[in-house]
Amino acid sequence: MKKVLFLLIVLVAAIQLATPGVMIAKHERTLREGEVFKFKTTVVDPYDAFRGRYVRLAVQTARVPFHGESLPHKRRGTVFAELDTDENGFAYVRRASRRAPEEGAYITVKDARLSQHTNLSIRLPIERFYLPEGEAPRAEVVYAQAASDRNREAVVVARVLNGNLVLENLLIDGVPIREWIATASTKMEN
Amino acid sequence: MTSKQEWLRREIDAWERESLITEQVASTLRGRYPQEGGSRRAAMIGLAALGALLAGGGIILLLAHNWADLPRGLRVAFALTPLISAQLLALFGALAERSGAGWREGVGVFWTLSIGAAIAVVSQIYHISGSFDAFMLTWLILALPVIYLMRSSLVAVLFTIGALAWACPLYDTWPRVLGYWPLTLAVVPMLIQRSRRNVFTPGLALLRWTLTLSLFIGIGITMERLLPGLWIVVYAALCSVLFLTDLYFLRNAPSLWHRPMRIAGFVGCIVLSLILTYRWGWEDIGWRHWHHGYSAIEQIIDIAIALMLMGVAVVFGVLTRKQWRVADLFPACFFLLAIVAYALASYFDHRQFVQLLYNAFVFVFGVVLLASGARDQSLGRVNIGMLLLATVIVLRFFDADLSIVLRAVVFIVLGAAFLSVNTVFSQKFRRAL
Repeated sequence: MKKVLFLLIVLVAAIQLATPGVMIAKHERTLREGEVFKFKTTVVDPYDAFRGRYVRLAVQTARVPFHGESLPHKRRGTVFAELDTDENGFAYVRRASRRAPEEGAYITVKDARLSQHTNLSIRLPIERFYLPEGEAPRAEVVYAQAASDRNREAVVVARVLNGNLVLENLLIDGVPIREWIATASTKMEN
Repeated sequence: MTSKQEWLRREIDAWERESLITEQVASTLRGRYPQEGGSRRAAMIGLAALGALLAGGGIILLLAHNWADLPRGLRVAFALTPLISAQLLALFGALAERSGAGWREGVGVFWTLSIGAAIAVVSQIYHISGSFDAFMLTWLILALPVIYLMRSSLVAVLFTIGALAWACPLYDTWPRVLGYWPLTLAVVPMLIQRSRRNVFTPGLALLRWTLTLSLFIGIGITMERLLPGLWIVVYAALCSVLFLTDLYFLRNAPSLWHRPMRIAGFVGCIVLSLILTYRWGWEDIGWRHWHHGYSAIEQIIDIAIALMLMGVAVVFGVLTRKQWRVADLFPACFFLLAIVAYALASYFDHRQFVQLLYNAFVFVFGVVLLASGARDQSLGRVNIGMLLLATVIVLRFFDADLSIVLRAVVFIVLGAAFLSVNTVFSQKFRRAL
């Protein structure tokens, strides 16, 4: 009985560790080997009781052409968003389909919804950028004050590999957000 | 615990092992001679669990701070440390054969929290934009074995609350919300297994409370609501099922704390009856208002839930019928009244009649409780009966277009009636003693 319980605990422990383990391995590989893309975004600050402070990101994506067989019942399902880069160097979704493309970078998007017969509304998994406690609310204040300046831009740098997207950094005016918050806060105080 | 009780409990265990008495008789005997040290034991288990909750919660907050200045590898190691520690503690417990309730509950709660912390912090480190339901579902699935490995009622309680927290935001996302049922029912084998040993422990009582309250919300959020008004029959059947299941399994409970199903069935039956004395509950219900154009499974799910609950109510009604006292008839047969009323209101359009029916139900229930309380010298039951009568009278007076003076008089008369009945019955009961 003691042996059985011991083995069961080992088995369950292995499965429990494998879950974050797979997440870690997949994201580390994407960060190491993934292709770099930049997305234009906006920044706001909510709070998550479990995962700490983060800035909420909103990447604008228009409706994109949808290819291939139709989505299942209630028109929701997993699709593959193929990425491309515009003349300014920013990433955009060129088209979406139900099969992973053989060439080029793409992002796996779960729970996508058909907005028209041939177009899809794509919500990219770029929603949160976590920051240390105290920096996120400051980021919101500083960013809101700077928002009136039209030249100011927020850019998410992400790496993409085999449909997986991992955020690498959030740049404000080309400066990593934590450095930018520190500089902007000092300027405001002065 | 005194040595005599210790001896008796050991003997009961031995009789059960040797098949001299059945499991049910053993459970009844254990309930009759509760452990004197029960409250002290409950306090110790409670403190162990509270300690684990506080420590686990503190670790989650500490990790949530986001130590962005530390290297990523180190942060990943921090994220997994509480989980690995909890797993090692569980392994140590298994090897050292530590089976005390305080140890099992404490380690179980800490282990459960550390699973959530690990997933959350890894999500934080890699800025993963996962939804709340995906996070909760992963946590719940990974935490489920902990309930059984640690035989922990408190982990089962946390799991039940987690399943409800996962399902509530999905109430309009059918059929995903139906996942509430397998998740919630996943703790039932543990409840049955532990109850066979001793059904009246503080942990199992807490689990029964959590499950009972969860069911009231869970049924509401998983119904597809295509047949307007069917909720009346479903909730009435749920109240009857809870009341009768308690009567079958828990009638020898040492206190009402151990009988949440009885309390929920009883209170639910009264509250639902009072709601159904109003007109709005009966408007636009029945087959004529059926929402068409949905898949077959969506069309039948609510009716399946209603039929299943009624079936269970009938089975336990038959099994317990010999134990019914007059006052038990009301919650036990509450679902039958709901079916008749639903048919009358939806098919024959007798809405005013069914309102009257529920007014009469509460009134007669109050009178019966009052009379049975007086007969059995139970001041509590007398007062509940009085309260029911007073509530239905007061509610109807608020409906009627009466002057403030007349309403005031009615309130004074009811108050005076309460006081005098209490005085008379307390003196009568004291004399009888």
